[in-house]
Amino acid sequence: MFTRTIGTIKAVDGVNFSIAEGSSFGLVGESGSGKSTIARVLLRLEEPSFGQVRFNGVDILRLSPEEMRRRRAEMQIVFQDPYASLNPRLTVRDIIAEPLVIHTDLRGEKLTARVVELLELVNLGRQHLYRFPHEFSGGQRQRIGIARALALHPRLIILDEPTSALDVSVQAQILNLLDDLQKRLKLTYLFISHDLGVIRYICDRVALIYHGKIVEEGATEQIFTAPRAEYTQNLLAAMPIPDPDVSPFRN
Amino acid sequence: MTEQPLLDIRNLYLDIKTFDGTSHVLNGVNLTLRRGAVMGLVGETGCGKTLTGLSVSRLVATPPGNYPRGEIWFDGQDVMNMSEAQMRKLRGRRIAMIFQDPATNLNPVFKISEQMIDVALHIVAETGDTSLLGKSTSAGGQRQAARQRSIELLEHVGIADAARRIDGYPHEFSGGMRQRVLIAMALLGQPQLLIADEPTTALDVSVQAQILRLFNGLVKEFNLSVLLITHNLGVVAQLCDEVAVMYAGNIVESGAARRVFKTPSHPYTQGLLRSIPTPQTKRGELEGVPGNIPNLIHPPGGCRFAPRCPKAMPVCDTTFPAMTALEPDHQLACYLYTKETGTQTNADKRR
Ligand SMILES: Nc1ncnc2c1ncn2[C@@H]1O[C@H](COP(=O)(O)OP(=O)(O)O)[C@@H](O)[C@H]1O
Ligand code: SF4
Ligand SMILES: [Mg+2]
Repeated sequence: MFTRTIGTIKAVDGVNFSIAEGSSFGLVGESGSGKSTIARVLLRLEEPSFGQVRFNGVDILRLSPEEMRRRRAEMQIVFQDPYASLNPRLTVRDIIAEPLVIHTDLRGEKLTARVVELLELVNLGRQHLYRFPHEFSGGQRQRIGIARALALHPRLIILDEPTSALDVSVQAQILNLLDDLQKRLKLTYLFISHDLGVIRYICDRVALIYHGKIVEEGATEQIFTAPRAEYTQNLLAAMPIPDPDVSPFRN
Repeated sequence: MTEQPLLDIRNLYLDIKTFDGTSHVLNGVNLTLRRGAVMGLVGETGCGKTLTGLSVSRLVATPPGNYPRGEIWFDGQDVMNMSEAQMRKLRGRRIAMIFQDPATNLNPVFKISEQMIDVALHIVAETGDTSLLGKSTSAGGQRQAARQRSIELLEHVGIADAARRIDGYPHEFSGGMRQRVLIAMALLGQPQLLIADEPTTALDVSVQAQILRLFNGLVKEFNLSVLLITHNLGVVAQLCDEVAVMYAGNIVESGAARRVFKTPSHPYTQGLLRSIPTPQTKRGELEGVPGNIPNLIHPPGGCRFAPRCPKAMPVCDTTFPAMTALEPDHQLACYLYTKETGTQTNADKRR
């Protein structure tokens, strides 16, 4: 569905990968590696100096702003910090309705009905419509962010560290939700994370990015069981596993 | 005869007055740290880990804080009843802290050297213990000794070229290197107890691994006991001999790390561990813990986990279950394991 070939841009260098429709693609790297830059390029929030980003066969970097605007409805992003990414002065209804107001003719009752539908998709409900972001827990705010991202029936969702600010028990809830939504709505995910455990759990394929370059890419199982790049091997070795028997410090 | 523990927190309660009402943040915390042990204090955001750590150094302001009940014993001394002057002899000297809040740790406008020398001289002034800096008694001599000691410690924690780098500013150090500086700073007082609050949380995993390795070495070299506060169960499993799992102001399960990780018995610990995807977890089968943490201004009356607990029984809503020993190295606060309310099998039948 999605091929991109990008030349030199500020932080990312010759990055190539493609994502099959309906699959989850993981982009792993440590802070400053260029993960989020890639997300921004995909959404054309940042322009690469050359290269292609093919979405459904079309190079979106060549689209006019007007065409891009329409395309962007199909590509949504969910950010790490749900609090920073939701306008604190808007109610949940208005936050989720915003993309619908911009891109569709839905208004009034019908608009609210669609918002309720979206809330229910993420296991929230009508009772949350007129509340403000600060009244919600981190996990609930992330659900709101996901509902908003789903408003325009996207095909691709970029998830930029969507659970990194959450506690593990809440992270598990959100990961389950994402998995469930993917199956129900046939979504394609680009999942950006530094958490190898999460990536292994949710992704079909993975690319490891280091200093703006992809050092290894492949099927998740293959990468995790037989990593080839030294960087991948080191990262896997550094991952703290909650099992005292595999600690590198114990004998 | 059992050896006197280095730190013993007994049934500690802490209330904090807030704008919205009194928050019952610690609800009878019980925690025992053996000499030479590294204990992980683990739990999710807001469960009271930081306040527990701060309480040991008596760094929670009262008011707005208030300790209605409970005791803290450090090396046989009754911390809750110490005067501020006595506390100052402990803090930074025998109990060192690495704070979670970065702003509390390093001041961006001063050189590392100035900050470390200040800390060293401050400790000497507060404790009157000049032995920390050798024999010199003149102010200049002490300063020089403090600087020398700081350089040694920086080198010891893996900062190359410390004699030069000590005159750098915090922003000239990477996150991992700053954490090393903080560790060196904490060692200035030759503490017995180090309380490190989320020391690796802001770091990338590869840097985190280096810092954990460093900690592991220092514990042995400096004969430290460590209370490692973290929300990361992986970090605890890697580094700690013992673990205390905290939920909403209570320690709900504690004991030898291997025991707790291999046979997690409190429903919350079980849920936490099942929330972490392992290589074996199939997609869609991650369990997690349903629900949210309780409001601590109006907490649940009995077991604070009851509203989220898949095994809750009527008795769970009455009073908080007492901490009981399942094994000599495994303690639990849960009615599933107390005699009055039957066995786990009975509880399972109720479901
Ligand atoms: N100074 C304070 N005033 C009021 N409430 C506080 C204060 N500090 C912490 N709390 C509350 O106490 C609870 C425990 O906080 P804390 O010890 O920081 O948790 P943790 O370190 O486990 O994340 C939280 O609900 C927090 O909001
Ligand atoms: S005491 Fe009751 S509610 Fe609390 S964890 Fe045990 S079974 Fe669950
Ligand atoms: Mg904390």
